Amino acid sequence: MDDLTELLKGVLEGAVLQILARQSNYGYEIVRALNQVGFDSVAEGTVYPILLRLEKKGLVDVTRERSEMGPPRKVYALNAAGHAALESFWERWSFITTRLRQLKEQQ
Amino acid sequence: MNEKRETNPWRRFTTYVARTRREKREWREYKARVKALPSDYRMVMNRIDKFIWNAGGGLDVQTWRVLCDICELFEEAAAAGRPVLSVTGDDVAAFSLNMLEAAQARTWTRQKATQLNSEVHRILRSEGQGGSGDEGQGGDNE
Repeated sequence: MDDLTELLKGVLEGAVLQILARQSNYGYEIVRALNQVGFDSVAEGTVYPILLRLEKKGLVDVTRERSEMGPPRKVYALNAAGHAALESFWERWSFITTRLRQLKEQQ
Repeated sequence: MNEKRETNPWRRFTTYVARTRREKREWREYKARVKALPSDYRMVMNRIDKFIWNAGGGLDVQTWRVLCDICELFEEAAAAGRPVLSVTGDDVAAFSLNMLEAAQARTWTRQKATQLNSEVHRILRSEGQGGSGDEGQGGDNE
């Protein structure tokens, strides 16, 4: 689907948290997971700032894993604060969808 | 970043010197890492560097840490053989600013924004009109 960019902005952080809730992962793999789910226009350049924000907010733990080709790769793992943030994301998300549906049905 | 405040002046001085030296060393390491990037990546990295300090309004060591983060992403992607624009997207500027924003780095723009908010709130308070009762997008209300 085209032109989700603006709408996705805040939501993508929740999507990334959800992906990491399943298992810890590399930045690039997270992008791929998003693409596979159908957000195919989501690019690396969109996801890296989100990962950096999650890191600065202390919602993920970052380790560096050695790789045979090139420099060590960053692995992101959801920590307890991250799990709490994910839960809060789903609460806020359902708040938004409920309100929007109400709004639509009022018409 | 999380170093606790030292009260002893001499210790403060020595930790300051140590920090400065460490930062200098890290800065040299960063420069060397940029130099080691493949040419496309190096070109983009250098331009992002310049852009962030000028247009991005970067101010201090936090800004520079964002550059290190970007450099690290570049190293990883370059090693995997991906083109540089697949990392940044076509809008290199937006990518750079988003990284800066995500790191909550102190920037000139952000500093001015905080200043605006706290000034407006302070003036309104001193005029006895109280804060904006609703959802005061509070700057830093001392």
